[in-house]
Amino acid sequence: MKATCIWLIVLIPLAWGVSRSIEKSRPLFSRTVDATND
Amino acid sequence: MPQIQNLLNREATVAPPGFNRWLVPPAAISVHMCIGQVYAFSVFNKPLSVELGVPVSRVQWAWMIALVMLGLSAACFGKWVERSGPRKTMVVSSVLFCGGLALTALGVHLQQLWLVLAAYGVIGGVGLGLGYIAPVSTLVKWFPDRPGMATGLAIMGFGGGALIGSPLAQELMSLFARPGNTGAAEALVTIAAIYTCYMLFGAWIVKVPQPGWIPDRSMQHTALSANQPAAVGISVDDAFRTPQFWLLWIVLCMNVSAGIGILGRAADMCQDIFGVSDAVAAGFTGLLSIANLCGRFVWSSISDITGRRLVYSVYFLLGGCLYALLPFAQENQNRTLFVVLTTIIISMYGGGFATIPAYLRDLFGSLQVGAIHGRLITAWSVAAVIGPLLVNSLYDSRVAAGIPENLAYNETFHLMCGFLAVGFIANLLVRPVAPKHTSDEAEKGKNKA
Repeated sequence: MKATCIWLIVLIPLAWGVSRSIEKSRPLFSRTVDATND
Repeated sequence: MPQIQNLLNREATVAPPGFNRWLVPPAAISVHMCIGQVYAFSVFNKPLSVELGVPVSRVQWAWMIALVMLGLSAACFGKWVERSGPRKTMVVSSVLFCGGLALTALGVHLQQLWLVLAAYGVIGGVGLGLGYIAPVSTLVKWFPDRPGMATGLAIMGFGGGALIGSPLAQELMSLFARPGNTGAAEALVTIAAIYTCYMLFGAWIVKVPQPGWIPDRSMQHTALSANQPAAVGISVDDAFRTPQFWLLWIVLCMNVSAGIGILGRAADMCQDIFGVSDAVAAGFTGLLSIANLCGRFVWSSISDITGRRLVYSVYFLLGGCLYALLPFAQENQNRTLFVVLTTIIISMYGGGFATIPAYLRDLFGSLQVGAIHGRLITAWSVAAVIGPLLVNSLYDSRVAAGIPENLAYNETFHLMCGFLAVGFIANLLVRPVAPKHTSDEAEKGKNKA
């Protein structure tokens, strides 16, 4: 239980950062953006 | 006061019998996650430029000084870090790094550029160096059976620091922004407060193994003999005099220089070569950050199975081949191929950072691995300053020579191949350290441990 809590405390901000980066990289894979920019 | 000092001493952090070693990586990650903010400093470039009334290029000096101080402090205080233990070092690192952030805010408030450079660059930079090496050295001692994976976890946290630092700063600045105020000073103070909590949390939970501790058979993931260091333990001063140390210095310097070639100009490169929008270019940098993060953990974990020398050969050989293919992707306007190639390259750049402490442990033992790592980090400082300068000046000279912007990067890619070739040769020359380098100091340390 203690180990889980400790890991969660550090993994939650990391997961938030990764999710923000994934969100940011979404236009790279978006066909709509492709069509309007290429 | 003496009670606090006792609490911070190495002796106070020795783990009790039966301690779960998996509680140590979160301590390392929490510190690295905070100091990794240095990668996200560019988010403050424009706001600080506006607040201080100076060009962005002068604000960027703070970042550059911080990276130089990171290397210098890690090199100078490595022995002290080994003596004092991780808790005291993490607390000092927290005071310096977060204090530096708070003083930067004061510099912004008072509109004093010199204070910003001194606070973030010098004070924060020293905190960075201390915070970088202390947890890595501790993890290497806790995971002698999987040092690559263990250091990969910590250094992945450093990569994650950029992913957190950038959006956090943006959110806070938009929260505090008022007419005539970018909100940068308030954001810096808030970040300093949050990061202090996290770094002190890391310092609170960190533990060092008891002298002579080795994981029992049930805890071991791979046989200890597979990655057991050849050397019994070499002191930092002796390690500094071996050719192996300098070969690894070149390996790290070339690996970082080659990665920075793409990372430093990722968004511009994507726009110049493929003519994409700002959003797509930002997406490209976001993807590279994730590749950098994942590469740190994945590649360094792989190195526990393959051995460090082989994995670095892959970084350099495969990296060189992929760089050589980038002009082909550019000529064919194949964006997917370009993204795939650069993603793999950046994952190996991150892997190179994360695998180096385990490589040092293999060669020099874990006796003073933190201090040795500290001195090796000067290679990063050198590469972080010289790499972008070389890349930018080469690109600018090609454009000045009349080469179209989309083609001007090809020379840069060839330069990166050259860096990787040098790193490849240096890595091939690495041999086990001769026993004559095991000094009295090391023997004493071994007996003490």
